[in-house]
Amino acid sequence: MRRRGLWTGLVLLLVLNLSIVGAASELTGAAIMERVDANMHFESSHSTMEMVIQSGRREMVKEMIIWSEGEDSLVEFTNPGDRGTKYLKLDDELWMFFPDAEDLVRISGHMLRQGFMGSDMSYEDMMVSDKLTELYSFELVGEETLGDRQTYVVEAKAQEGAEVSYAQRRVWVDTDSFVPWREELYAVGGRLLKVMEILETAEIDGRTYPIEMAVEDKLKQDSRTYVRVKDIEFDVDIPDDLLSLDSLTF
Amino acid sequence: MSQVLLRLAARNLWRQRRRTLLTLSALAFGVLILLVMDSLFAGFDDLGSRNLIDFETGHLQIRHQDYGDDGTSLSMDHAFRDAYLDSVRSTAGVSAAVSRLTVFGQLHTGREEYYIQTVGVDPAADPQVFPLPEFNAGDWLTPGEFQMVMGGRAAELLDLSVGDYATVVMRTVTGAFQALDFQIVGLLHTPHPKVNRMTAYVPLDVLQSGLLAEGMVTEITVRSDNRDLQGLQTQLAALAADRGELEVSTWQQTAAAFLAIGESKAAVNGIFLMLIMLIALVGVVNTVLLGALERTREIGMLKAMGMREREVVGEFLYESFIIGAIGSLLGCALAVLFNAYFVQSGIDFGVLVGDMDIGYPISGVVFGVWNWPLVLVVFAVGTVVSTLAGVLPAVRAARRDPIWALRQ
Repeated sequence: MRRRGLWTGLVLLLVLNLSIVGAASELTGAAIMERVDANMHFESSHSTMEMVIQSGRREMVKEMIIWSEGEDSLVEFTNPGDRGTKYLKLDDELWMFFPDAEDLVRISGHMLRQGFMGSDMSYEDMMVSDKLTELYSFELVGEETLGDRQTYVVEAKAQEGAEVSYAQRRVWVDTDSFVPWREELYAVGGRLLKVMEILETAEIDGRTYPIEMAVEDKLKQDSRTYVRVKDIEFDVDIPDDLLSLDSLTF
Repeated sequence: MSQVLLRLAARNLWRQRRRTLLTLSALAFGVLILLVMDSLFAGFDDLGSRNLIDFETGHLQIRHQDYGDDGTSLSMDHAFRDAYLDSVRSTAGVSAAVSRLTVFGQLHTGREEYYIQTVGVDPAADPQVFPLPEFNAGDWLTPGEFQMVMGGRAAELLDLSVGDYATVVMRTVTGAFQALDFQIVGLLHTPHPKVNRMTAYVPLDVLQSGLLAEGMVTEITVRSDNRDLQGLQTQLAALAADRGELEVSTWQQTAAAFLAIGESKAAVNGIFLMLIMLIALVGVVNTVLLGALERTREIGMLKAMGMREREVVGEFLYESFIIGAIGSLLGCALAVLFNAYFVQSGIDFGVLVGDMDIGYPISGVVFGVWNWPLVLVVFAVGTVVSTLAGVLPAVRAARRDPIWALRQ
């Protein structure tokens, strides 16, 4: 099972994390998703990012530093309005620290369903667990040209009784680089809820990595969230005690 | 002798009629405020309780025992099959019972997103337990149709009117998003701000199939004419015993938070009311004291002519008694007049605070409540305490040595 942190959730909530055992000799839907996953996999990372939340004429910019290792990650906001606010993901728990109130809050239940820092992503979206293969079945439904890129179109359907937020997903994966350029998330009745697009990629340590993406809530007019990676390093050393509850309150 | 003293006292008060009048009105005003406030606060509690029963809790509510724990209220986490409803309905003492499915929803109108509590109701049976409130516009739901009746205030905020469509995003029983479109067929105007601001009703069958939850509900609500709710609660609990996870609570238990506000408010009221009485009483003490000081020579004269200390004290006590009795009586009479108006026509609380959420299940017109025992008590306490307030200055005045007093 590949391990991912909050950071992955943020940057790559478009990616369906997979761990398919066996060779991907034939390009089935699942095999394609495995290639996508392989491209995105890393042991640890350290990055700085910018999140621009547009809603109507309003625009909010948030900056953050993210450390990530395995399942765990820590996000610290650095823009003036939110400076010191931290999120810590430890396995499947999410904790939040507000510096003003000096208060540590565990985000659970309903709160997970709300927008992350006012963006178009919910906490739950970012908590993307790595068990999607157990939750969805994938099918390659065709190839399409997306802009000037050739892509595989993979459809994911929730398995019977699986507890997932989105009953269906549809992903457009680059046939060469296996970058998932576009992903659509659907409600049970088949209504399109969210669209996530990768706007720009960069070659980092020999892999094609998304560095700018947009999330759009299709039920809200003029509402978009952009995430831009300003700087990222893979497989870095992260101090042992950084990804712990103690570190949150410092 | 006491008649002479009473006449003396009355004459002395009349001599200083402006001062007497001022003290009297202070006391009367205190009594008036006390009684009217008590009436309106009782009216608040009454309306609040009625709103809770009529819109939220009924008389008894059956829910999953863990409902509301760990942020699970308004979710399907503790929904259950309502096969139990028929046996509830046939229980003696139950006038009507309905099941509802209440879930959290995000209402989208394109530009706006609004959090709303979506309540699936049986359009035919629901009004037997939750009486239909006034409609601002439109009509009630039809089973099987994608229709919505919502609070008028929410509609106003979102600029929605009858005939418009709204999309509500909710979670199915497995937690997956579901987006359903409803046509708004009615807008409600209720005395309960929560309903006006954040509630939408849709047909239960439509909501259940939309959320892949056929036959599932989050609560069964009971209306009862039975005064012994605890008894009925025990009976229903016995019925639910073989469905271990269900719990029966009376509306008082469900509404414990609101009722607790009422109780702590009563304590604050008590303090406030005592303050008003204290201010009125200081006025009485002041009047008697001033009277005694002004009449030092007179008292000396009376004593020189053989009046006893007891009689001097008695004369002053008559004065404070007259002020207390007339002031309290006047206050009570005015309070009854004002309250008659509040009981009849009420006071429109909405004008004062708008449809603001003040954490109270109340908006609109609050009606006063008669509390005759309190009127009697306030009259008696006002009179007795005013009289007693005169004791100290009266005794001081009476103890003066007549020779010293005459020299003043």
